[in-house]
Amino acid sequence: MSDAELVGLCLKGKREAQKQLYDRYASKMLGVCYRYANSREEAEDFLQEGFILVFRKLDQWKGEGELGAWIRRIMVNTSLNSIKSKHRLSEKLNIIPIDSVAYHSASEEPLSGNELMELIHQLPIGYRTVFNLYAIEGYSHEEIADMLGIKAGTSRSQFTRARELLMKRLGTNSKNTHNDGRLA
Amino acid sequence: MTDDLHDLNEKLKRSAEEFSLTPSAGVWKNVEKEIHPRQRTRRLIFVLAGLLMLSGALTWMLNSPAKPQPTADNVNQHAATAPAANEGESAPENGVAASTVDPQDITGNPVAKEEVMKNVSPGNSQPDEWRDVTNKNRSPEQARVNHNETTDHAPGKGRREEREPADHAMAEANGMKTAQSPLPEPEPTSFQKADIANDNTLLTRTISEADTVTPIDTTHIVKADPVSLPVVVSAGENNTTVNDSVPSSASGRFSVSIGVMPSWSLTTFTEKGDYDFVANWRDSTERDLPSMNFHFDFGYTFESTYVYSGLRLVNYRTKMPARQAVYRYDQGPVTGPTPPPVVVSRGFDTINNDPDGMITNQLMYLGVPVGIRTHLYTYRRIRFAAQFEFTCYRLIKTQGYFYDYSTHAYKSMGVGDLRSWNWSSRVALHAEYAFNDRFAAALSPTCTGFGSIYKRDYPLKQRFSPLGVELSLHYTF
Repeated sequence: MSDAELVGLCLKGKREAQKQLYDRYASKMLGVCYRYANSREEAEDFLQEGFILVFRKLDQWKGEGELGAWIRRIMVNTSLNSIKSKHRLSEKLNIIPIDSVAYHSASEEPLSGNELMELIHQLPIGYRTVFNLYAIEGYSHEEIADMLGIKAGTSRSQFTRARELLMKRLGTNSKNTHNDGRLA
Repeated sequence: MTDDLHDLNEKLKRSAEEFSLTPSAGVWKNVEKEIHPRQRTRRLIFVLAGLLMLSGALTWMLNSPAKPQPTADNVNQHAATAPAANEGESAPENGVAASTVDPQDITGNPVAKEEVMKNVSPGNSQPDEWRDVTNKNRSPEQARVNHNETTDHAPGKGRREEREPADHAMAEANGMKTAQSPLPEPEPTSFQKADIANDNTLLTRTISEADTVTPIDTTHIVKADPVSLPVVVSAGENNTTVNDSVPSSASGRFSVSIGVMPSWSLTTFTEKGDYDFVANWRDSTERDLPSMNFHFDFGYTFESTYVYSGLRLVNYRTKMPARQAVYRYDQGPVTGPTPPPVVVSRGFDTINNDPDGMITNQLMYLGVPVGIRTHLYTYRRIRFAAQFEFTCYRLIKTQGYFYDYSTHAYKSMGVGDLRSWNWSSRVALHAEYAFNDRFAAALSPTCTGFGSIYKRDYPLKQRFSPLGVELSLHYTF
């Protein structure tokens, strides 16, 4: 069944269709939420809020773009607003110290996708948020600034620092992987 | 280095696309609860509709004629039986025997009526033989006098016994059912007698030995003293003895009622505009608590309808998790084919600084009802009735927290924060048991629907519908 057909049934209030839509996207969207959340439990909170919003506003999806992309943006927005109100994100973005770290190449020991995600998840929340939005979601710094209530320059500098920190950790990870065969 | 960064970015994007986690089962359960909150309202509407249909069906069944329609033949037999019954020594002194005939049986059947008219004296063949019997403005003393007068003219119990074999044999010979036939007519109960008395269109017909027709006043059926005096309504096959107490809800009398109603409410939420209220947060769901309600009513019985007013004290209690989430949605700044809605404001886990606790909200209303109760069915001392009521309420007490949309935070709730005046409509099935002439107890499964507790400009509507069983005591003056 195509997404459009599924949405049509959901809008008619068919529970089976709603469950099917949830099952189709829940796992992937939990992965999205997890990148913004501090814990898996918090990620499930974001997922729950996001899907409630998806079903209540499903009539706004006109079928012009991919349903998955639309749901993903809702999940990202829901997660952002949650962490904004919970963690006072704009303050955290400004107080994180600039950490000059040496660059390490990540290419010498390739990591699996899940390991990479776990590394991103270990970044401080301010870095992680900007990094996710810019490097993975593809938003511009202006859009990120608008979404988070910060300046575009702040977004740029936060992304640079986040990338540097990630590279540093990737280097550490490579060394640890070499030493004991598991992630640091 | 640039190539490395590019590779890293590509790898990150690919990893993010592939990354997935399986959510726990509780997430879907909570999502489902939030997207189908109105199911409860729908269920309530179905229950109400079912109750109304049941009431309607009962009313229709009880009002439709249960007795078989008489034909010209059996009306003739009735008329022919009377003189035969009076041939014995049990014939009344004035030579009058009476039988009560359902007017619908005759008036609805011109042939039957014509046949009956043939059996009455020419001088009395006018319609005034059929007389409306009213029982209003009659005191018990008058009734007792009437009763004595009537018993003087009607055959007594002992005399009736002597007459019975002849009656019975004659009736059996004619293929009729008499008062002593194997399937006798059941005696009317106190409530049924009240209903008979309330029916002021009751027509009676008497047939004398000489085929003269004399109307019988049946007023004494109701107004007889509650003391067990045998009162014969009429001679013939429909003899009735009144030895039961008069019900408390007899027509033309004032009553007072006092009672309690334990109830449990169903709460429904409706968001207005772009606001969304998420009451269900993870595994902590908002739930309604049982409440106790009180009432005092006074009313007046007209015919088979009781009209009342009084006072209602209604409590509404609900428990909610201290951790709440309230959203306001809008279109976000994201560009694209279909921009997703974005949460632009949110109230979150701020109630009482207790993110794990539960909060009890309580509202208390004082109301003045206007209601009507119509009798559906009577069995001995038990009467069933359908009740409809409209009540206007004033909010007199609040306790708990509510979400302030201007500050996006929960705050302590005052009377001025909610709608001061409210209303409710109520339906109930009323089952009443009469202990005696004055006292009765009632049990009423009740369903009430309230208007929203919030003010009109508040972006959320919250209605509650108490379901309960009202227990009450009635006293009739």
